[in-house]
Amino acid sequence: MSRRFRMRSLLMRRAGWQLAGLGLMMLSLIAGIGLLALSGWFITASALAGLGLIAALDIFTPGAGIRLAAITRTLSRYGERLVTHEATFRLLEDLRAEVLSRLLNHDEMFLKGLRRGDTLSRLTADVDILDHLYLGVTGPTVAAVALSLLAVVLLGLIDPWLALLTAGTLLVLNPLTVSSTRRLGRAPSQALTQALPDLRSMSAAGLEGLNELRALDRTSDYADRINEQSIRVVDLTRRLGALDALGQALVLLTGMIALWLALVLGLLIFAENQISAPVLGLVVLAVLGLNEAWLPLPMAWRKLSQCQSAVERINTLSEDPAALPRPECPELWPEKTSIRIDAVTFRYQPHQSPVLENLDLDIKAGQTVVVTGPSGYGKSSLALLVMRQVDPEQGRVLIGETDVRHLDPDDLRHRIGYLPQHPVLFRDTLSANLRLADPEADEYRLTRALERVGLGDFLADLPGGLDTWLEESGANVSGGQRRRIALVRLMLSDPDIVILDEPFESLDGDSARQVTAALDDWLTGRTALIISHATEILPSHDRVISMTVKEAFE
Amino acid sequence: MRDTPATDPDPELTSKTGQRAWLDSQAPTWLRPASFVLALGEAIVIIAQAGLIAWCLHAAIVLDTPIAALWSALWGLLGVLILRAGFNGLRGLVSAHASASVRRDLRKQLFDHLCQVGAERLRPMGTGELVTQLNDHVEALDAYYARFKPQMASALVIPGGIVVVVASQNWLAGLLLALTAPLIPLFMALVGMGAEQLSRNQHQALARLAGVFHDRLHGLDTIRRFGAEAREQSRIAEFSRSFRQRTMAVLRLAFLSSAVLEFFAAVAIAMLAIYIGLGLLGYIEFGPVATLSLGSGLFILLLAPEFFAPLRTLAQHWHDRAGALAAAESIRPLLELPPARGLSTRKVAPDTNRPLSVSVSALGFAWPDRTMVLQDLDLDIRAGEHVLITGPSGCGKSTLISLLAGFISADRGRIELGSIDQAGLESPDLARLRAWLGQTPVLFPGTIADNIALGREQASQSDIERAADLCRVSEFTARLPRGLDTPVGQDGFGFSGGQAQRIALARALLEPRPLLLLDEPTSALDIDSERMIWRAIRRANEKTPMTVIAASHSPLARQWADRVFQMENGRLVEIEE
Repeated sequence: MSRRFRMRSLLMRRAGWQLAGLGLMMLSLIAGIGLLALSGWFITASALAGLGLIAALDIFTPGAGIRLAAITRTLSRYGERLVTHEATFRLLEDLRAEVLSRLLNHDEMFLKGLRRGDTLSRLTADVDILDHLYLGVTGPTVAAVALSLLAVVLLGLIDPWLALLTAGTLLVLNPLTVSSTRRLGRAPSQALTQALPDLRSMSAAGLEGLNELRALDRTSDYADRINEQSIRVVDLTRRLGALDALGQALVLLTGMIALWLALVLGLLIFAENQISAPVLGLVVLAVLGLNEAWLPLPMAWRKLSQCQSAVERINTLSEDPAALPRPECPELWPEKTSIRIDAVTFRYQPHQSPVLENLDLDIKAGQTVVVTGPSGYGKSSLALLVMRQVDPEQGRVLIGETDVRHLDPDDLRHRIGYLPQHPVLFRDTLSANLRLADPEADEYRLTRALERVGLGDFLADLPGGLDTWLEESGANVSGGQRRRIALVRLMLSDPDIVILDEPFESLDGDSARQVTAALDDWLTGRTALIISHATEILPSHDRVISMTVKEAFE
Repeated sequence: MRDTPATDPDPELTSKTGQRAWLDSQAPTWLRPASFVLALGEAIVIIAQAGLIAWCLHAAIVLDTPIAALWSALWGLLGVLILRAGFNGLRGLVSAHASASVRRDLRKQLFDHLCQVGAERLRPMGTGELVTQLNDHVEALDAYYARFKPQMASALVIPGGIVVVVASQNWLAGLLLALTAPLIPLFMALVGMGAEQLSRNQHQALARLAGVFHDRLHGLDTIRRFGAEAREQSRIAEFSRSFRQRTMAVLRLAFLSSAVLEFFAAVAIAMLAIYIGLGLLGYIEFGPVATLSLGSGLFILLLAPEFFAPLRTLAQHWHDRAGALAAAESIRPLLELPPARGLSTRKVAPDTNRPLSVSVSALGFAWPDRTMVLQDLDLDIRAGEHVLITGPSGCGKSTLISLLAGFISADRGRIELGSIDQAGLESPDLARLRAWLGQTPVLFPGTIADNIALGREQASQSDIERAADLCRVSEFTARLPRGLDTPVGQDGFGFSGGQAQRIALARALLEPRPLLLLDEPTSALDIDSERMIWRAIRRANEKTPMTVIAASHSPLARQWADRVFQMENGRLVEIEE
């Protein structure tokens, strides 16, 4: 799918709103031009009538017209801004939904990659930047072109040369200016998309490593390097700013030339008595007014490249192929959900030493097995292997008698309940966060579930109860509460296999005991793998496996 | 008395007037006069343009002047029109230049200052936030200097000039515009308040919506595990909808203020047109109608929209001002942070060939707003000893290492390296005496070799390789296609914590130093990497004896150390093994 098609298809949405906005935009421009043109006509006609050069003048119609234009101008301008903003918000609404649905088709490793660095923030920003597409580019452009064409037609009724040389000049020279400033701006814009992140990562490294730099007495050298990069960035933005100024000046110049041509040609036609004096006044002021429509365009079009790269990035993210191959005809989910890890060797990156080497592990269906050991021994990678978020280098992972590679990834997602080490809570209400797992759960069920893990008091203290809004990534709840909310959410679902990664981290003794009691109940009948570096408090289990110290490889 | 950092709310630092004054003081001194001169030039050209057009029309229509006699005026008009575009472009170029110089200087000043403040005090603020301030917030000032400030000058000079000229033609028309002149500050306040509220609200709403969306993207996996794809999509749509409705409610009000400006502009033009028309027709008697002619009438009419145009543009740029004020509010407190360590001036020639004895006496230190971390701390270390300092996290181990390294200066007491007072050492001399390794290694953009050679750019390839071998960097670089020339950083190659720490150690040990300071060097590492780090340190020591002081609670470090101290209540107690 080409990028242009996507941009266009984006614009085709909410066409009704967009057309309404465009209509109002044009109406306000027409009213502005009409106000000036009518005033020019009226003053010229009045002067002639006052001198007795023309017969009696109807002052009421033009007077009313002038007032109407003034009022229309104000109202349509106001309406235009409301409608175009409404249209933009609706457009972004659609876009968010679409990005979300596209990304939901990716595999876990891809999503993990998405969470690294600033990809997510950039994606969020990319969606927001697209508001410029309609508000700044297409709307004003269509309005300016349509209005100029209208002017060609209307002026053509008076004199074809006048039409071609005034409005025609605008229609030829302005697009030329716009496209050439855009072309000239492409190189610095492109360079900036590289230079700015470079500056950012350089300054991040510099600030993180201030002590490293001081210890080696390299602070001022590094500051010089940052300054050089900063100068590069500032210089690029200065060039773009200068280009904007140039574009605007050229559009202004074009407008001024059109105005001059209108005056000169008008005077010539007037001298030949082809038009009356009031029409001459009207023409000059109308062409002056027409210029307003073109002024914002060069900068708007230069910014279009930002929109384009945003669309491109959204497309790349949502079109990347899945990293792990899907089985062609997946096998049925096994009835007995035992887990067997068979001589598995696994490493995250080819150049790193293996995290797991020749590991065997058996968990019978319905058993609870606890895996302990210090950090860095591949406990968490065990969880990823069972869920098939990663594949082993050697060996097999079986659920029942089936290799996980032959199972439907959707089954693996839905039948395995997973509490990650850093569970995600959404900026939303507490109840909405919990109902993610069970949309049907009523308030009583949610309250009971929270009480069972010792969050009863926490819930009672919340100002809005279950409807309390959880702040950024759950910032208004402590680490322990967060983990327990995520656990409650998990316990509202009904998986066959449960994997808990450090469920007791940042819980004090009492809460940990409450959580284990709740887990004892819920884990009955499910196959469970509990990863925990602490072994003091654990739910009832069949086995504890300790990941022992591997042989150091030197 | 130690100086307290400027964290207490200083009204000058938080008030809007304070931000404005500061923003204006950052601008190059020539910007304001240049803006005014250019605005004045533009005003003159605008008035000349209106005058020439009106005169030509008057001459042709009323005076029946043949067009042949008008050519000189018409060519003059063409010149004026070109000049107008020229002034406009020039103003843009000049202000883009001014904005660039402000941003360049400010970013340099800010980064230099942050270097002075030091890692210890910056850490609580979060690197991400600081990077945003240093980059995005400084860039946010662009629109203020490139657009808002010059437009401010235009909005003062051009309407002012037009009122004076119009009044000289027809005092009533001048009065009509002048009547709106006292309204201009009112407009501005109205527009300003509206625009500011608008940008604030819109920004907030958008940020919140962006946050909600960001969370869903972050939790895509969670959504899918619970089979909640469709539900969450409609949830996002619901949020978008309610945010749109709320934002639109605010916008309906906020847009009113600019509608008022639009209204005044349109009505003023309409009133002038009708007044001039009726005056020319002789229907009204009052005021200087007798002097009205087609020429003066058109002149006034042509100037009326030019009177309001700069104000309307200013209203459009008002949110640039709000953005700059917010950026100033975030940047300025950083510039007020006190430096961590005073500059010393004494020049000494330290002997870097022998291990260094370290003597600490009656050392006292407290972080701002916290109780004493170190109290009357004494420590004597003989040259070549390996000393371990243990204690629970937060007890001040790292603070002591930072003090010994000279990253921060003590409130009381004295540190002697050999027999030299550490506080009196210049940074280059200090760097030749002590090497330092921290908890989380920071690798800089560049290659692995660049990182190892950070302390000495002219280091030879064999020096780098020796350090890489010593710290077992070569072990994993040997497997990389580009070896030591593999780039690190965002787009480069990802290293495990242990590998990065080995690179950092090679960097610290590239040249032997008489004193090696280790600040929790292995607390973020797995056991293999930890063992490797301690072994590398031991090996390095076999080659060049050094005094080593390590803060760590690793059991491996205990095996390695000659003497072990426990940090208790801000003092050190030696533990007999």
